[in-house]
Amino acid sequence: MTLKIFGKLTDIFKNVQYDLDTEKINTVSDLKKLLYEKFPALKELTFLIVMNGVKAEDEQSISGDAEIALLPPYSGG
Amino acid sequence: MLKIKTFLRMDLKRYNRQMILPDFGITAQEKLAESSVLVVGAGGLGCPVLQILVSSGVGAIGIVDFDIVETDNLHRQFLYDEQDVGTPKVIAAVEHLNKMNTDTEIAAFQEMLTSDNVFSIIHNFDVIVDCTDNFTTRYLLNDACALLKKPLVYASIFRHEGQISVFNVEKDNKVTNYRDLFPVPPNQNEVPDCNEAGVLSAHSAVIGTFQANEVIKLLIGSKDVLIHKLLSFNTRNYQSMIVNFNPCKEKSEPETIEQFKNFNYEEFCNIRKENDILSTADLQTFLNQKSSILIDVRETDELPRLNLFQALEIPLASLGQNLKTLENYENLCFICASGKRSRKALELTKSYFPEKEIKHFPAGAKSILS
Repeated sequence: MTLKIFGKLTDIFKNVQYDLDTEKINTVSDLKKLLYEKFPALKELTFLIVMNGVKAEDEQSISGDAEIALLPPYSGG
Repeated sequence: MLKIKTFLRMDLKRYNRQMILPDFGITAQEKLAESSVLVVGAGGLGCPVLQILVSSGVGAIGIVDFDIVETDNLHRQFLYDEQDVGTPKVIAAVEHLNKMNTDTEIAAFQEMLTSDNVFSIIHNFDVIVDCTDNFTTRYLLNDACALLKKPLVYASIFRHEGQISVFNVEKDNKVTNYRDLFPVPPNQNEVPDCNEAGVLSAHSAVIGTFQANEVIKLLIGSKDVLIHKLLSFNTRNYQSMIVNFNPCKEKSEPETIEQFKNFNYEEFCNIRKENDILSTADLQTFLNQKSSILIDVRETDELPRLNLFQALEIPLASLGQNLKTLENYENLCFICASGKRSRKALELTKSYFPEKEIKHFPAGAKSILS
């Protein structure tokens, strides 16, 4: 699974995308847990998980071919 | 307050090129002429939004901003010129926009949006446009518009990316707002604004143009408006994404005007570090204590200077080498423009002087001089 990364989160992932092994991931909650393990700094940050173009909720299941994006809020105006 | 010029008295020739569009025509032009729009923030997004709405023939425009034009605004805020530096943005904006199109009536509000003034300002307008640059005003404006059911066209930017959406418009029996995307704000230091993150002039102009486009589509009744949708657009690689969203169960915005008035937005947006923060009301009391000092960590050419206050001027970049200067004070309060550099200064200083009482003033230099 390739995640699309937005905003300041690209400073943590060092890229605009990130490849993830999906074996342990069944739900959005699992995805968050795995990301927090790999990138502890994410725990302090606010971001949406977008799945197939829709804002995803924690309990939703994730299929291996889902398109996932991590989108934080922006402040500039 | 605002008098919209009668449509029949307008010279429609100037709008010909948009009126000949098959999905626009005289009907849409008349709708624009009879509409009023309030633009909150006359900066990188607000300038293109204002220029486009006024040029397009929107009948009445309100502008809210308490800031003055600064030299480092000019590269992206094309509404202003070198002569405007030092002038309040709303004054300069009104002067330029009046020359652009006399069909549009323009009202200026040179003030910071607060829980006390927000309803009296927004209630006269059909559509509100969020061109703000901080989360405190964004959540306050979002909640006030949600309470009054005012359509709110939102945009914000980070480096080469931008987000645009339209809130408080019912569609498919649902109404959504910013809190359905982000129910709670990020930490104080989590998301840099343009002063910290930097921005290319073309980028803020592109995102502001998208935002103005949504306002016009909303006013003329177009179906393709970003309702329950957030557009994310990157002007460096042209990657775009639309995020569909629904009402969020976890959000808890004020449900009555009384709840709204009692809601502390400053605290809400800094909630995880509230012990370190001084409010406007508490600043003077803090500084009246013995051995207290205010430290301005902005660059020395940033306006307005704090001449009325006894403040040390130590730009953040040189604070590390100047910590000795602070040794003899017991109570320190840092100040900058938006609360971001003052927060960093606080964290740096705390590790050197754990015994001192150290605060910062996130409302920023302009708020105590306005």
